[in-house]
Amino acid sequence: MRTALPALLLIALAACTKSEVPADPAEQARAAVAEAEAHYQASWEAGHAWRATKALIDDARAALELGDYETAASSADRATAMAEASLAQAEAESTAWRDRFPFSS
Amino acid sequence: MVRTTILGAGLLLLGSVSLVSAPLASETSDTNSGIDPQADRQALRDFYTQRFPDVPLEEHKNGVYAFDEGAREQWLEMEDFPPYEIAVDDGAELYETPFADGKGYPDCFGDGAVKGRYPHYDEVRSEVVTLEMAINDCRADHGEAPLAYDGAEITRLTAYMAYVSRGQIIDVALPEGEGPLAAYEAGKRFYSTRRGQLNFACSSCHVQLAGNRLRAERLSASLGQVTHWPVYRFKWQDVGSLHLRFNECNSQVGAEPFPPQSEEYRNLEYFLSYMSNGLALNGPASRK
Ligand code: HEC
Repeated sequence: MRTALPALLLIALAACTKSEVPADPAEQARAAVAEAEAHYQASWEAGHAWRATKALIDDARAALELGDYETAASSADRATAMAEASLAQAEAESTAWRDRFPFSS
Repeated sequence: MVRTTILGAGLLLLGSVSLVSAPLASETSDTNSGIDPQADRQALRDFYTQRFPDVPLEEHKNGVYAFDEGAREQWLEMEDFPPYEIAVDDGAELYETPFADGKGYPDCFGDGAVKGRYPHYDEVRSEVVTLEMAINDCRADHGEAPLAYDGAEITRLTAYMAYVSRGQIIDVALPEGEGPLAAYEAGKRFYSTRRGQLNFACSSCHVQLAGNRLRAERLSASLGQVTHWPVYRFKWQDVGSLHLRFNECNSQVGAEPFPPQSEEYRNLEYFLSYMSNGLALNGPASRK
């Protein structure tokens, strides 16, 4: 499997920049989208990207384009949460799959 | 949405009661790694023998039609005028059309009846090579641009080559060494790993739930899933590759699919083909 390390570093970076919260809603929305993208990238590299995460990021980008920063930020935050769930799945499955095959009835 | 979530939760529960059967002693057993493909294959065959006591294992090459009586009738009628026939004819024409250098596919594959040789592990390249890759290798050797793996042309060629390869027995080898075993294990891992928002593994549907109904469809057994590609599907209104089916099965559980001929899908094909060793090739086929 591919290593998720570079992407995890990106997430750590995104998390750091988040602590100095920008007041500008446009900046905030952009930061939220960047964070969601980094999380999605990490889930992709772990082989566990979810399509719904991508769809939310697309929504967020479209809203950003239209200047709807509130929608952009909320879609991006949901995408981040979803990518975290998919990374948790990758983590759990890294060992759990071994108990599944071969099956007995 | 609600319905699928309930299904997913149900399978989560199912997943927690999986059992590991005792490995059998066998030639290919690799005691260092604990990987024992021959024991895996035997265990899977035993599983389906118990799950489908009235279905000879060989019959699973016909997918759900091996046990879905109603659907089988319709399918047999459909096979009177096989919807993949045009693709086979087009493929034959493409197969015989020379490249710019005057050579052609017959210089690489003879009469084209070579499907039984793929997939195999290529020691020099250290990877699994599929028929689709071999077709593009042949083109490259003769200065032709590669065909798109999700395009119509390559699927017509493979339809023709599958047709003339009918009856060959799947006999995927696992040569000595770490490379082939690692590729096998990666495929097995892929098959057994839960993915997507619905949290399903391939095996959740095609092993644990095999024979059961998912919405309007019965679920086929893993055994025999590689024997008959490409497939004409009424849903696609065309012939499509095994990797396109992988794509759809990944997508329907909410997972982002992998590209056709990606390392992931080639290893998956290698594993599934090994599981189907001993079954006869019967492609192309038609499916709903
Ligand atoms: C949510 C359940 C589900 C999951 C998970 C799933 N599939 Fe499927 N699959 C289906 C259904 C439904 C069909 C169509 C009916 C059939 O042939 O089983 C199908 C068909 C197929 C077929 C075609 C069978 C034939 O006879 O032509 C293949 C091959 C296949 N799946 C492989 C896979 C692989 C590989 C995975 C994991 C990446 C997977 N499936 C995961 C539901 C699932």
